[in-house]
Amino acid sequence: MKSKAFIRAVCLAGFLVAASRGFSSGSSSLQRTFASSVTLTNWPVVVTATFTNGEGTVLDGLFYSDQVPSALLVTTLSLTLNGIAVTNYTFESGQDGDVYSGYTPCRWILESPTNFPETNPVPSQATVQIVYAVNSLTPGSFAFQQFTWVAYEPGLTNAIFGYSGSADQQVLQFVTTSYRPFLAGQYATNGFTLQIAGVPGYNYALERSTNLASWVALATNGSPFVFTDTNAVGFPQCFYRSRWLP
Amino acid sequence: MNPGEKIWQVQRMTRRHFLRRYGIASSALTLSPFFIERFAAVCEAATNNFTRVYQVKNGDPFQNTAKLWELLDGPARYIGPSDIVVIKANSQWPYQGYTHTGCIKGVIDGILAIPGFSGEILICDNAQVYGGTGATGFDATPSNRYQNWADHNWNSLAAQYQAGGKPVAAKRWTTGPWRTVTFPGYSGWNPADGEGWSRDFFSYNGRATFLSCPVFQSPLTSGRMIDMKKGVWEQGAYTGRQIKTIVMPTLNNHGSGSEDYAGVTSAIKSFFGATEIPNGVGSTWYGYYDIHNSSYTQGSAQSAGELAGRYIKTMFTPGLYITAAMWSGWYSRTGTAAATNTVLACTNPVSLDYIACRDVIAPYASWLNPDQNSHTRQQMLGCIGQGIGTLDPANIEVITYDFNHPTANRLDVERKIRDFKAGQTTEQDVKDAVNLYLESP
Repeated sequence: MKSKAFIRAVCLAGFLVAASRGFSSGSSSLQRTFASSVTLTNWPVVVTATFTNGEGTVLDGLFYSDQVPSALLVTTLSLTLNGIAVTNYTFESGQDGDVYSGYTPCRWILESPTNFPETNPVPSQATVQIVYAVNSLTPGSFAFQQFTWVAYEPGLTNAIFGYSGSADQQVLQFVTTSYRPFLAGQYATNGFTLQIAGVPGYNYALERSTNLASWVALATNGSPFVFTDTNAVGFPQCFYRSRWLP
Repeated sequence: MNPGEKIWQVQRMTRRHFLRRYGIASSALTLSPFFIERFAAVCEAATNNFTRVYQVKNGDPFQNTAKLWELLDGPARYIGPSDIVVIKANSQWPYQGYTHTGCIKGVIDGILAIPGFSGEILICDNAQVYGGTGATGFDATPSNRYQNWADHNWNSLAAQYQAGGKPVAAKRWTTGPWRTVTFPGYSGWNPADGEGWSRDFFSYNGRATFLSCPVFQSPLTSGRMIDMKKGVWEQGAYTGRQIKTIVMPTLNNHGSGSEDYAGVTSAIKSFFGATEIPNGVGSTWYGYYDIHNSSYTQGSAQSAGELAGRYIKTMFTPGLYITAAMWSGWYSRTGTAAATNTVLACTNPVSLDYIACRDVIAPYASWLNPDQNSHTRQQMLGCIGQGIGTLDPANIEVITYDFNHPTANRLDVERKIRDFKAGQTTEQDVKDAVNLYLESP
């Protein structure tokens, strides 16, 4: 383990949900995925927006905007350009109803006009990944609105933009239902110890992933139980999830 | 984060601003231990709570107001298609002293363009016992339209609309009738009795004071009474139909030159024309002090703000304030004025007056700078004391469009994309907006 700070633990009580591509005025695209469609209140859902520059030229002035239900809190987890962290981006939020009633624009700006002083051009075929978490303090269903993105081909003096399709209007559900497990963890001398607490006596699975795509089963037991992952030290980062087994 | 670096420093904010904006998110962190380290690094709330003031300048009155509606995301955001709209303007003085008729027309045109609009638009004010014949906004003669729109006064503008079949009228509220009251107390006016005023009697700084709001006959629909406090009344009952009020003040110096009598006369002061001042500014009415006699007459601008704030809370609450500052009478209401060619809008009168004073009129009249202690500032503070608005620049977001230097921001682009997605604009329009945004500082 390079650093304890790299341990990434995520409770994923649901399943991965992919969103469809929408409109693009050029060849570039942006895809937004949600790590879960159902989660507990006060427990974040990770959203990943992946932009690919499909133009034959570099793009300047890229900004991505998600219309987030105004009741939700938003937290940026990372922003990378071709896998390299971008730290001098700007995040800004608008106001409820700025574009759609009940929604607040949340924007990640890689470069701002007119001179793009942040110097984060997106090379042709490069990928920008914005990872953020949304969270609700109260239970409820929240339908996401469209996202948009905007960029500029400086060599061609051509603005390009895009937005999500209707299939992307994902509904996130925040619940207080007790069978959803609570997952807590702490560092231990021999690895990373997790406590799983759901409905007492019900069975829950504990799984680990390094990429949020493939998951390795670690344990299945009746709630509550404690498990120490002694192999955690072998990964630069890993994610954990616990699922109720009906 | 570097060692010793604070979160708000990483976020390029002040600590105060950070705490105000992210306090809610921070409280959630204590319950999500896995994310503390990451949340602490880049923690963001979803919605900002800045008070917005919109400002459009250097167009003609019609360009300015059309662009202002665009910045406001259209009148339909504030007005429903069947609403009765009252434009409470300032009528009392000639020249720039009454609300610019061209700006009123621009605002009305936007409302009439709401799909399916079936309501009424009424241009109203109580000019009190003042205002000379042919010298008010309602009836200004051509010679009194100097530094205003030469083509029309409000009455002739409304007549032109009506001739075109449009539901627009002008209505000068008139004071009275008096009726006995129990003090302190509220005396509501029954629309079945015709036109009148609902009145609130209370003790203010030891004076028996009153505020009132009108109940009046619609000039367009027989039997339809407009009760500014309680709504539309027809055939013996309130119908539930909405009244939406837009306050449209001027931007003028109330005194002469640097005389600081009542500071600026604009959105806050506009409520002096929404209540009754029956016998002039220094007299009582059946022993009761009106808004003027209980504030400026007593030498207290703060009282004027407090009473305007009380009016908003107890009588009617406008949904929008639009300041018509095509001309700003920096010397006086009817004296020397600057062609400031600006319109501004906000949902509260305090922040609107603050920005209008600071950015539009104070460059010509330093004594109207709202950051200096003066009657201008004190009337704002009085209104804030009633829980209305802010003059803290850190809490105000000014969105400006200048026809001399056109710009677009990210919100403009997003709305344009929204409209394109809805089939209401073209791909090229969106690209033009993006290009303008990318050329905007």
